[in-house]
Amino acid sequence: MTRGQQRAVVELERMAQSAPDDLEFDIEEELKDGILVVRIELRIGLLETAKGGLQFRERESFSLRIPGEFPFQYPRIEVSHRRFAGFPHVTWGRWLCLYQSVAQWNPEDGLYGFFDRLHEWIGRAAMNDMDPVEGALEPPYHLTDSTQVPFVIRKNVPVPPGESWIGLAVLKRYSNRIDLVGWEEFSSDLPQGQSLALATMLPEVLPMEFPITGKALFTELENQGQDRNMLISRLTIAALLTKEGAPVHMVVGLPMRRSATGETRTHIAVWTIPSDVGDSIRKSLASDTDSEALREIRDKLADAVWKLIEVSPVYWCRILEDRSEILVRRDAGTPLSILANTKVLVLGCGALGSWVAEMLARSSPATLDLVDTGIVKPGILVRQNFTPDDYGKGKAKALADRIEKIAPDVCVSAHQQDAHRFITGDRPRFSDFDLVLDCTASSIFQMKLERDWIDLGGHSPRMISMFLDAQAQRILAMSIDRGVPAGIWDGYVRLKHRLCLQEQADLANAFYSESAESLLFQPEPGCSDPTFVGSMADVVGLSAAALNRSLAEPPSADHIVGFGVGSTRCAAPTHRTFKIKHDLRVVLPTTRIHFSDVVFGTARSFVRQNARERTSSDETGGLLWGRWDEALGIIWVFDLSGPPPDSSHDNGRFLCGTEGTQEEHDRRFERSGGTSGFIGFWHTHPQMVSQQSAVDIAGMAKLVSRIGDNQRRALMLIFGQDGDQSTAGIYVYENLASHGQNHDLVQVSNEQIQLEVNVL
Amino acid sequence: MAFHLGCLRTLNDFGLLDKISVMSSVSGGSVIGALYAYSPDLSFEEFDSKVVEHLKRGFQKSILGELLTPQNLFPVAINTAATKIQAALAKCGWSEQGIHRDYSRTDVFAEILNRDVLGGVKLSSPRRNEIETIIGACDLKTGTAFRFGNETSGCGQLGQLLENDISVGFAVAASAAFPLLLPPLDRTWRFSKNGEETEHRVNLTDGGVYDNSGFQVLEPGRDPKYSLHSFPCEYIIACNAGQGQDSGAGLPLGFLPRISKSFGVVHRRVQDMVIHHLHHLQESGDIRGFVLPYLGQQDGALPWKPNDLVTREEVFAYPTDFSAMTDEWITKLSGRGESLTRILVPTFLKELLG
Amino acid sequence: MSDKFELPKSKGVVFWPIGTGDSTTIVIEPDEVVMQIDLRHLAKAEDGESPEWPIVDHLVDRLPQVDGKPFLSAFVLTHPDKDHIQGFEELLKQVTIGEIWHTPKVFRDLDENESLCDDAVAFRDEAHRRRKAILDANGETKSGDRLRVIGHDDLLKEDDYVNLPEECKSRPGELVTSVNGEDVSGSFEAFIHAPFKEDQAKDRNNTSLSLNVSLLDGDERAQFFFFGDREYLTIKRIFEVTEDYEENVDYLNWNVMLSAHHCSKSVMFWKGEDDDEPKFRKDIMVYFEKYSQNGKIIASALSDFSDEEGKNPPHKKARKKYEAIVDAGNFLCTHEYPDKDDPKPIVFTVDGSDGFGFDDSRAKAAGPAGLATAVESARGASKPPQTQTEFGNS
Repeated sequence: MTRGQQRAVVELERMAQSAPDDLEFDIEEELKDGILVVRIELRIGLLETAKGGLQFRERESFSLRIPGEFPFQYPRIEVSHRRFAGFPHVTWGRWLCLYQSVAQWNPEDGLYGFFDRLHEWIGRAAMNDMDPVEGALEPPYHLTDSTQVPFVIRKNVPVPPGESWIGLAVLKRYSNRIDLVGWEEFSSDLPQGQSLALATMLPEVLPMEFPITGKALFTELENQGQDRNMLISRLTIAALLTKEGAPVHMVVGLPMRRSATGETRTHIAVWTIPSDVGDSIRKSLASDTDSEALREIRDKLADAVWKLIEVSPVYWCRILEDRSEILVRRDAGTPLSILANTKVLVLGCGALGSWVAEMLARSSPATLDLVDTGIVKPGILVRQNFTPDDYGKGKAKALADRIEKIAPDVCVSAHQQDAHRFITGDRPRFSDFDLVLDCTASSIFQMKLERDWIDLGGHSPRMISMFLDAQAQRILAMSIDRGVPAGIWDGYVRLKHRLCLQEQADLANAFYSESAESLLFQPEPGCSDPTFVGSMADVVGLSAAALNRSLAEPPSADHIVGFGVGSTRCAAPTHRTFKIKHDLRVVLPTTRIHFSDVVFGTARSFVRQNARERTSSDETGGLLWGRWDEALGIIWVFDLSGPPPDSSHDNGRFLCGTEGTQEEHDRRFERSGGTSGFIGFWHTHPQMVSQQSAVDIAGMAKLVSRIGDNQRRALMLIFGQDGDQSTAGIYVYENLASHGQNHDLVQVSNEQIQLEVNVL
Repeated sequence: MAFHLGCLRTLNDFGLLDKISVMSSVSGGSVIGALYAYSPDLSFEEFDSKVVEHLKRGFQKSILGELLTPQNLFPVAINTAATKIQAALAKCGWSEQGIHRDYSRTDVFAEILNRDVLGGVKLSSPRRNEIETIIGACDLKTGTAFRFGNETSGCGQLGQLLENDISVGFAVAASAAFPLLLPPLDRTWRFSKNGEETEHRVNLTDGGVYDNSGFQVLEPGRDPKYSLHSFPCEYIIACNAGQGQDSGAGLPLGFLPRISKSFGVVHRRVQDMVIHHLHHLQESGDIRGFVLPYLGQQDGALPWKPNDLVTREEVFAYPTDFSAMTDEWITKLSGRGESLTRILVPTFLKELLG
Repeated sequence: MSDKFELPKSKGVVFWPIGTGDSTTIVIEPDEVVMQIDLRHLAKAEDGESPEWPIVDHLVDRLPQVDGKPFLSAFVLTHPDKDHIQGFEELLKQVTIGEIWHTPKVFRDLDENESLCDDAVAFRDEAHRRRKAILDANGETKSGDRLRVIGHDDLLKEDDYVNLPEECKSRPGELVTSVNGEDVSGSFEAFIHAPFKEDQAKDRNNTSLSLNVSLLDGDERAQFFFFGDREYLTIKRIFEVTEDYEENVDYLNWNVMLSAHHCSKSVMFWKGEDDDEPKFRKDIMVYFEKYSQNGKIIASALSDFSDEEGKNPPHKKARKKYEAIVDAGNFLCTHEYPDKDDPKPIVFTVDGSDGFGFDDSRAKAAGPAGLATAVESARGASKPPQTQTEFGNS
């Protein structure tokens, strides 16, 4: 006996001493493999019982098998009779299953814990209070052919458990396994070249011990009403479907499993008949050209074959379950699990995209599209998801091939082209995606998409975008909802503004400062684009964090959500979430204007201050601050400020002063990381409409003309009233002076809008 | 006080005053805070002018004036004498208890506040928008915060007052009794704690001695077992008229300036801690946003300098002593309050401006 | 010992806690016809201090009254051992006994070396008295004088007995449905299994009367098996013989079995000629199990089960074998029911609507109770001791 077993015996003695009438034990033998077999007798006594519970005798005997590694391995306990067979947590009719998993066994408590558990088991069995078991009601005790590769069942059964069905199973053969990928009815037009096997769903269970011989199996099936001749014909079909020299397979479904909630499920078993028997079956089939004698020979052969099958033991194949109706997904409830059965697009298959694509693929989306223009080069293997076999291949294609192997149920497509062209080339296709991941880290792409956002006609998909800082210690991610009026670039501009202004110094510095630029490096000096420094651990950690966060906290129709995530390499790794309300967007012919949500509230506060310090009929006004992007044709208005101290206010006239405005511009511009500078003026028309007056026109003209202030472009906002409705007039002045001309050509586009906030 | 008025003005401009559900005031802020809270029938403009009026008049002269009236002079004189005797006795080792210091300059201050400023309202009187009002003082005997509220008053150690029948003026006077100017208010009251009733004597002085921000009662996570007043808020606006970092000028010679400087140092340290604490609360999601318009704010740290900003240097040395103020100073101080609030609110409390 | 115990109001069977011995009361018609099988009354039990119940006192109190005196319709003696007859003399004095049933062995002992205790002598004398009275009455026997002699015996051919009317005799294989001259066939059937003719030469134990008593009510039937003090061979014979007669096989069924000889190991452990020591005989247990109707086994004995050499029943070995063939909770010892400290009679009832019933006053456990305490006690205590611990250096 090992030391552990000796300890077990001591524990048994102590227990038996404490209650000699209730527990007795007897060491029977020590097996060759070191297991100690001990006979235990327990007095059960009067128990609480319930209908359907296990009926115990007053005294029950058990055989306890204590392994040599005890207490680090737990003992097994079995009974010698069949009275418990068929009851939950009794396997193979005799073994009591006290522990679902090794994790529940406490080595320290030794046999005391074991008998506590047995005590509980008996009590609950009597009360029929056992948890339903996932898995086979009773794992069939049958002979397994381990020489064959296992079957992986990937498709759910075609009919509910307990319903009869006969048809074909579609197989896909691999070197290490055979995948069952579909179920088909019999029909004449089955595509050629598919690997098929006969499949039959039986309505009733087989006994716990599967019939061992063919005869017993036939008998059992006949008891279930399956005609013997029909079985033979089915096996024959199965043989016909098999290639020469291959073992015959028949897939059998039995209602012998339970789900976690106790409902019945179909258990799949695959009966296998040796290849030579299969050959014989095929040979025994009559052909039209047979002579009488040949036919007789064939019949004799048939008889011999069937006798052989009856006498031979029945072998079954190993099964690995992959059916969604059986397996509980290990990622159920996680943020990525919402991607199941969706259509996903990944733009950019580089440091971020190549990993994100795999993460998404393993969450079982319905389709996955990959877009990249680049090819796989050796240097990128340090932190991108490729192998040397992919060298020279297009990244999108190489990644698609890899993903097909990982997640064969996902429909993967590779597009070796530019991301922007992919989108504009087929806009409905783009709109149709459930989720788009922008892993391009390309501001050019994002800007172009922003420029063309209107062309999507409001049918933009939900998007998540992310990019790393130069040292791969932080990631910024952004999430916009489906069908919003502005895209990712707009989001990034506003996020940058927010980060700089709200003193998120670590993030602002990492991503937007000049020093950030200087940290980029050239991997192949002179031959490649500057890129960031980072390892696979950095890249995978940050992209996974960003992906999880973005999916866990979705944006809404009126907010975008931004995330700044720092990795564990940062001094203070944190993650921060920014919810930025959508701007009010006004579309003019040549420009779009995005008003930040504070603009009108702030204007109102200045109007009230004006009323306080002067009178409400005096005009007031001030400067507009924001970013004017001519390339995109977008003006972001982030803030407005009040009248400089040297302004003058009158009824019908506001002269905007200049005191302190230069310093203010410098301060604002620097502080906002360049996102907010002087872009124009605003003023009020108390009790008047917000149309520009002649004075307004003259003032703006002077502003933008060369002989004037030479601003070249400026925005004017006029707050007015139309009855009770507060309105704003928006005027965009642009000097289109072209080369060689002496005069200025000023273009004015304008729009009147109604305000929800009552500025006046 | 003028600084606070400026802050309130801008908050009103942004339409945020109506969204305020709790107001906690300490020290000088209590005067204007109480006046704002307990004037439900005044419009903001009327309230504004009333405050300006009082600022122009100040309180020192009134207190002095009151003291010289016959009914006050005698009790106060006796009190002062009694105090001196008590101090002498203490030096000889006799116990401190005994002579009740009853009527003092602070009591007069309370009277004036009740009569001239607050119209005699009690703590339980109706408040503007039914704001929860907490006026914070400090009890020198237990060394803890003693807070007056419209629902209940008391302190964690002693329990709550059996009868919350205190006039607002008294509460404000207790809260604003800046130790260097006004003596503590002496009272003996009955308290109820854990179902038991006891009688205690308290010495109430400026709440700023304990916590000059007043925002502790607004913090989430206060345990009602130990805290009488707990009003967790999502957004916190804290207007602080303290002076901020010392420029270094003015070496402390003599007793009074040195004490004053010590208080100042303590206040500044507390202010720093408050800022950090609010940052943490926001980061952990306990509060959703905060702004801290602070008189002594370093202008360089502001997102930008508005063109009409009254600088720190201009107002930094202005003393807090309830003396009468000139128009110029009122404008300067309130102007700074307005500017700072106007910069901070759109940047940090965007969501509220919808 | 309790004053409050009453005989069941419906048909039923009561097993009394009278120590190691048998005493069974059968209520055939409530408050009218009551039968007693065997008796054991300890004088010391009368003071209420010991766990055994003074059965005679209880019977005197509870039996139906006829003419101002407690009345017992029938007294059945399986065999005249002291632990089956003790207290009979007193019973006879205080109670009117309508009919007594016995085996011829009672009379045989007159001649042989097995001595009879006083109560047995009293019984025998009474049996003789009745025999004479019956013969004298010439067919007009009255209650109080009735007799039933059960079993084959050459003795019965002798003069004293040969003229006894047939209605006073019964043999194995017969079904008795009248008690004290009354026909109770709708309520009661006693199938006589033994003693056989071949038994007559055996020892007292193995000539015990063996009955299968059925109580009936409407369609409901409950069967109670009595073996007296029989041992392996003679009990086995009962099953073997009866199985040969198909029409009698049903009388082997049992809902309750009073374990023979107070749970003695001699029922299933027997030393054959070629054995060194008694061996376990599985076949008898198979018989018992075969005819068990979710059966309950009663051990009428003190709770001092042990397997020591030479110890009298009850035996632990026997108990374990019985426990292995009944459902949990269906082995009852009269001095463990409902608990060891305060035993009470075990009462089974038969009722037309509820059928066979047992009002089990034991508490049901959530698991094998003994196992739980065994584990806990074996684990040992983890808290500091509750009594002081002394140390020193002397």
